[in-house]
Amino acid sequence: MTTDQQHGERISRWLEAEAQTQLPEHVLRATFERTRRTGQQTGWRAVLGRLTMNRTFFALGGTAAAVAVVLFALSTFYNQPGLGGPPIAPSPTPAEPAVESTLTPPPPTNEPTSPAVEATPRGVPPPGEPDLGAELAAQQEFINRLGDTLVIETSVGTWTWRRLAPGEPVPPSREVQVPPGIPQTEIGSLDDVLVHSWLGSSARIGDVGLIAVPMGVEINWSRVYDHDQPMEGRWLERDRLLEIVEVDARGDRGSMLDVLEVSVVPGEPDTVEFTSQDTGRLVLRLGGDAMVPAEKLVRAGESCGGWGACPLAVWHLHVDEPGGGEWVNPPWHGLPVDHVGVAAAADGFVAVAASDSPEAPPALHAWGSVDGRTWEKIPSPSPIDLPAGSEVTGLKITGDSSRLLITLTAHDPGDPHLEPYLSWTATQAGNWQPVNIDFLGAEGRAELSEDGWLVLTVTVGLSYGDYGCEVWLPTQGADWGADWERIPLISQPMPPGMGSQCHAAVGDSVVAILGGHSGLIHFWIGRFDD
Amino acid sequence: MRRDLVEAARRGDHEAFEVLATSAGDRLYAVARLILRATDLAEDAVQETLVRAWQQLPALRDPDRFDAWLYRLLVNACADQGRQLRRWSQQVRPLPLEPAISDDTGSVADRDQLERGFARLKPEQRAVVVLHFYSGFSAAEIARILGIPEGTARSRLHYATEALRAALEADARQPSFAHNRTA
Repeated sequence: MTTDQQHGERISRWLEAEAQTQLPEHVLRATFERTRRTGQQTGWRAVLGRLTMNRTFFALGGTAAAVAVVLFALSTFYNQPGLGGPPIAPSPTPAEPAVESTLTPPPPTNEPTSPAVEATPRGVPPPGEPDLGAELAAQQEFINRLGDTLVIETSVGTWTWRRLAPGEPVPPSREVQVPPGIPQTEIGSLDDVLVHSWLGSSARIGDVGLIAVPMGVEINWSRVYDHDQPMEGRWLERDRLLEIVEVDARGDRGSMLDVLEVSVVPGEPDTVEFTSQDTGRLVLRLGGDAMVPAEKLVRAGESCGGWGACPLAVWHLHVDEPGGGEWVNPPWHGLPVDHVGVAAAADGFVAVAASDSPEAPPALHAWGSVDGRTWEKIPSPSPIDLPAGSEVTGLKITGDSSRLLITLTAHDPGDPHLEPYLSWTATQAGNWQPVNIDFLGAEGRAELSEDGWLVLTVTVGLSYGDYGCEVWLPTQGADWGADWERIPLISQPMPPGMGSQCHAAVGDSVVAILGGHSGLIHFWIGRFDD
Repeated sequence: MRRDLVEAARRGDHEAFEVLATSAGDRLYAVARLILRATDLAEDAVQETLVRAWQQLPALRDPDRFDAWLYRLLVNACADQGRQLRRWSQQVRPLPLEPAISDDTGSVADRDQLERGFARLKPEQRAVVVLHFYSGFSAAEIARILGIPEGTARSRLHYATEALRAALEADARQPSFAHNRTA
């Protein structure tokens, strides 16, 4: 046995021997190339960095991040092919590759004129408006006034989103410069947008929604919060603008995390309203037939704070009925458990992770339905009982492929630092297989694309209490899910403390990741090459 | 002088920043290389650290805290880079069969076990080990650098040190795998 001093000296000598003390010159060269073309945080961001954040600020930020996650999920949900969204064509959007890449502005086009877009010198706020940051040209009109062209200029680069005129052919995808393999397109500059917006006014918060499309990214939704005015937003579509009629953002921004009642507006079968069950307020109204989802919407137990007698709400819409059908909460047959933890649904299939008592380990229950109104319990496959001490944290079912992914956390009492993350896949509640993934983390979400492309998004524990997002890709084909590979495109530590969240949205081969924390929201966009 | 450089860089002076970055580069790289155990990741971590430093420099409140602030950025960047790999503990590096230096650190097997033990540490534990045993910072200084309570820094340091001790003592009880590892 060595003394502490001897042991410490041994470690020191070992580290000294292992150290490489000369930074290669090419690293500094590359660094300075980047810093030479990268601006510094200015204005409000710099002020932000010097501020001492209080709890209110963090709470506000956390709430906004959470709301953004939900809104982003909603916007993505309603725009996925096969979910009733409009057919998505290749986007003219120039996705921004890694920092080393060169951004290519879109070619000149015959843009439709828009009164909302005026030529304003970049970096100069409109008269009477607060300076939201010299780098954000779009703020000149505010992002709730998006027109046909949106330009975001940041310290990293410039992005231009242009709305095509009706009937205008979609430009070739050459604007999308994506490296081979599985590239990373980091839209970190949008963090700047958010930070700017945060501090542009003490009462105004803005954020931008992104939608992943097969060949790139386009901004799909935007909004501006304001304590003193109704929030306005617009859908930015390729061939039309769909306005969000009203979103009441006063006070309770967290209402989007409630169970949402969804209803079709009487006399307006193409307009769907989302109302908070918690507050009774209208949260969102969407118009346009393309925006009506054809999928069931499931909200279950999300606000229950863990296992307990959480209500399970399953809402679904029959789009094949005259007038688009209506959102109903179907009679629920054969639900023998009250302690619902997580639920998921796809066409004709609902799975619920539940336990017979709050103390009992969860088990998976599954129901099938032919008409979406009546449900029959599906005999549990084996292994269906989840490990004792485990907690189901994610459940996702794809429709066509009927794949089911369960994510759960099992704490290993033998190793307090290791929290294995286990998952199973199944096809129609059969053929269960463990997914060979383990994580250093305690929570996660399962997100699968309809074609089985994706993916497990997990919130992983990082150093110093940070959290980040990871994405995993299953093997494709007949052995789907037999092996998983971590996609090395998304890695971003989040500052510690406040409700980090990850959300994956999946296009055909595109994944958009949104991670939120107390004051920032991060977007990442990546595309898989077939 | 250094404070002047920091002040100038904070105002957007590229040359001042490059002087600062050049002077800090080697020691940042040494720390990153020790934490990450991989040259390419360490290079990326240093580059990311310096770029973030440039971008965020206007937000630095106290120019005299520049060095400590750089270390904090570096450790965060290391954690970021470390997650490029599936697991920290899966990083395996072949051990030279012959010591490249005088064998002050003990036997090859000892160093192998230190490395194995080190690889099993969580990133934050690695960071405190390197900052303490290599860079010479006290637990209190590490706490200030990383923005964590001093008790947390001491706890991490204690755990990491004991984990390395356990790795060495385990080695004393069983044959070494030093020559059987897979690169």
